[in-house]
Amino acid sequence: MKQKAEGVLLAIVITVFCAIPVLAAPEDIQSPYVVDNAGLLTKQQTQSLEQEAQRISEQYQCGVYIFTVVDFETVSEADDIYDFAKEIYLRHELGWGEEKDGTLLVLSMEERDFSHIAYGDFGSYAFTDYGKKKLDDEFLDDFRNNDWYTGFSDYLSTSAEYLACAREGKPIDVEDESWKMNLIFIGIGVFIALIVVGIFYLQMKTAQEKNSASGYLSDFKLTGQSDRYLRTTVSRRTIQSSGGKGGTTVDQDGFSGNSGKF
Amino acid sequence: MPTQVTNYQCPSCTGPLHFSGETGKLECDYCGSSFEVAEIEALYAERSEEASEQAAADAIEAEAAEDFEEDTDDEIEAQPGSDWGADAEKVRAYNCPSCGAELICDASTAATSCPYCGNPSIIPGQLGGALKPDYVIPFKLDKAAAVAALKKFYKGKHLLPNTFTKTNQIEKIQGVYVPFWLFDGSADADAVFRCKRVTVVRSDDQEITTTQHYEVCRGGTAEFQRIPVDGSKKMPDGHMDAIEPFDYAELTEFSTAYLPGYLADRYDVSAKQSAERARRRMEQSMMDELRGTITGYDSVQVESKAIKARQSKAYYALLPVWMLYTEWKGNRYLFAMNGQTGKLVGDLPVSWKKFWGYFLAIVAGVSALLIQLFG
Repeated sequence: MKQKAEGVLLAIVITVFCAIPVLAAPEDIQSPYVVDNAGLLTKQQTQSLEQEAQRISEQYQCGVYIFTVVDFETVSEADDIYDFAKEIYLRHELGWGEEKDGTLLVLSMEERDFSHIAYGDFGSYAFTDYGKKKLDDEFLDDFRNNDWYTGFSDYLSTSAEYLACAREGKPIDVEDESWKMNLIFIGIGVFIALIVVGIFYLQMKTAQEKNSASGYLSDFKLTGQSDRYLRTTVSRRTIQSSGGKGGTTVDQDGFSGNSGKF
Repeated sequence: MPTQVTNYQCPSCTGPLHFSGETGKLECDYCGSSFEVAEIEALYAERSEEASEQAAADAIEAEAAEDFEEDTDDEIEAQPGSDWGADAEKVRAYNCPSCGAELICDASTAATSCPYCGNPSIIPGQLGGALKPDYVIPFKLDKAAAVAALKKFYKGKHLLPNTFTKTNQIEKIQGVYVPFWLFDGSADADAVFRCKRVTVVRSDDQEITTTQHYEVCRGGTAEFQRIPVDGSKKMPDGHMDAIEPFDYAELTEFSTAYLPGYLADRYDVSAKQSAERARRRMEQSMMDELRGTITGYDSVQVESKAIKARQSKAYYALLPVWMLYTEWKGNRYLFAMNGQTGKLVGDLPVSWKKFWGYFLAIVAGVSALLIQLFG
């Protein structure tokens, strides 16, 4: 009797420990789209986000995933949060269709690391380098304020917008500034041409009145000089960073993404 | 009323003499003899005295003849032809002593050549007495050098119309002694400048510009010697300025013996009228000198200035210039070459077809290259 009770107690303890999400191995995913191993969300919040993520994934044929963990270094041998995110994506065979199109947001709470990756032809097309950086701005502020549900909601809703644009053939990317560059090149051509023909023209008109008599000056004497400091003024200008050439940079594993701290 | 004109004639063969810049002597066009300037000056000084006495006698005779005509010819009709009217002040009439032809010249002409016999003719009344120049720089470069220089001037001018050089009568280039006023002067100047030193520091997302402001004061004095201002209304100031400088080391005391073979004008812009241009040039030079003493700043702007420029002396000189007026497609173009140093300036017509052709070709070429490399 006593042995039977001890056995049941041990089973309960083991079951409880196994149920603790902090120690859950990455294989123990509770749901396919939203996995909150760090315990940031309530059950209702998780369900709500799960439904929304599923709806978006089905609508746009591209998976949208969330994964949180307390400390990725304790559950993985990945060097950094970005490699950990790739590991999660591949291990759990995330992604939609044959190309496994999808995007994944991973949070590791110990060091407040995040990584946002995309995979597949359509996934990389919809979430460009510029687009991912811009999307990250939507939720990072929320995470910095520990507002997890709002942050994840913003992530899902903005991802839906990006997928919609991509399906219309206009993924969120830097503005195409090639026409501006061509205009600048033509402007440089005009400038150089003006200088050259201006020199040719001045060769034709060499009779110019002289304004000074420097050639007839002798015995110049400086009778007074003073340099007086008045004041100093400082002005600042914010430099707008250019979006670069656009598109998505894909690594050798087929992933694109960025990571950082929140 | 015709006035006595002097032809400088060869004492050996009475051929016309012309001044040679190369040798510095007067040379005969016919027998090739050459004479020192002083020699001919002395010879013609005697003849000039005789000519003045004769001119005085002629004047008395002419007056007597007029009186007689007034008394006895009241009913004689006026001679055909009209009076000069207002133009009388702009022209003078002379008789060529070689062939007797009547020469009609501009009021300021002092030396010319007879269009009938080609003899160089000096009109002393224009350069005598109070009108006598103080100095002259004799011609150093001859007509052949001027023609060669002008042909070289045309080369390398990408915008020159192709037909211009063919119709340009380059052999009509003429040597002219142009009247100049040479001003000595002095100037005092004080100026205040606003100066800045600027440093720019860039970080990842910011550009910080720090500007230090200074008030800089400078004062100075200077002497000026022989600033040239042309004393002829006919000569454009731009051309006369552009052929500067003349080498004043060759400035010599004036003598009409240097004029044969060339045209010459006396001044028709007075020293007083010309002084303003000299004063402006002195003022600008003073500002340039003061500005040149300010260093170590990124920007310098004049805030205020006070300049006093004074002329002390003015010399009247004839300076040598080779000139060619040419007409092309209804427009006049003037070329002027310094007859001492060879510096040539001028207006050339511009082929606007070539201008736009070059412009568009360069724009297209540069743009295409940049797009190819960086697009």
